[in-house]
Amino acid sequence: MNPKPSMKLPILYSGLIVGLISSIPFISFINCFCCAGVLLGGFLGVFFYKSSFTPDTPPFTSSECMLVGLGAGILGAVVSTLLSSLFTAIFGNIAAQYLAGALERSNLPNADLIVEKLREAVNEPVTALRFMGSLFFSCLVFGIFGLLGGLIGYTIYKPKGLSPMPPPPPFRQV
Amino acid sequence: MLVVTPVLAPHAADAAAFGYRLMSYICHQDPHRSFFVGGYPMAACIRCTSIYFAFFAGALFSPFLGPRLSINARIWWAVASVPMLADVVLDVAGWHASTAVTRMMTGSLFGLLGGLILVPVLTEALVQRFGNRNPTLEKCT
Repeated sequence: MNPKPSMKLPILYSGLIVGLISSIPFISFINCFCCAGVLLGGFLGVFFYKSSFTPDTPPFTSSECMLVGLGAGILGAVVSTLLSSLFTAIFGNIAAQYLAGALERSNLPNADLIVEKLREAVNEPVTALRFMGSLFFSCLVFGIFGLLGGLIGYTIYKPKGLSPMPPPPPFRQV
Repeated sequence: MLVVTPVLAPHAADAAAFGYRLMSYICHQDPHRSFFVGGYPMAACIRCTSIYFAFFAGALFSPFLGPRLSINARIWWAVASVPMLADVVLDVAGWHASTAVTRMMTGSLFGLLGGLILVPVLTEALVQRFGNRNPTLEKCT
């Protein structure tokens, strides 16, 4: 039997995809839908990982897929935070400007709080503290959603014949 | 976080703004498409809120139904996601007006089936990774 392939390349590819999806203005709106971009990244990580298996290698497991998704999410968070800061420094917070404008035009009651918050976000400069806070929270959220994406990938691509849960240990009275 | 943020809004605006900001990473928070608590929008839209609450319900029922669904997970993922994607895509295309009810129903279906399918797999993955460290179970084996 061949040894299992490395997880590094699938994590790298899918992490870069997550980072790009989550940082490019307007394309990043996909994450407004329950972090769909990050879920997709975790899923793609498992797809890439699965593609590197041959019939001679032992089947992949759910814990490996979980780690691939988690890695893709965390790497994606780092790439996304770096690129978002770069885009914000160059172009300003285009997405927040767009959303604040749309909300202002909506004339909804109590929307002022959110509009004010978005306007603040538009005007805030990129500081080291803000960058670190954003990086920390992105790693947390993207890690969780990437992990879930990896597990979704496992449920779809898992090798046939594997039990969904490990059998319970045999019970012996002490 | 979803419910506490709007409750805090009239009493502690800074804390509420922080809550809205944290949740803005994962939801558009459009007040047009959100439930309101005490006159303030929840920290996520109706669809996301429905997904999270239904996922929690699915997680509770997953020990009973999850393993059965995991066997044909592809089919169940299709059942879970097609109505929600259709609601989004047809709304964007202008062929169907997505309403609060359709967002809630399709989001709940996705969240419920997602919780039922994923929680057993997550448990399996964690057991594989970290082993069974329950001393009571170890004693039995």
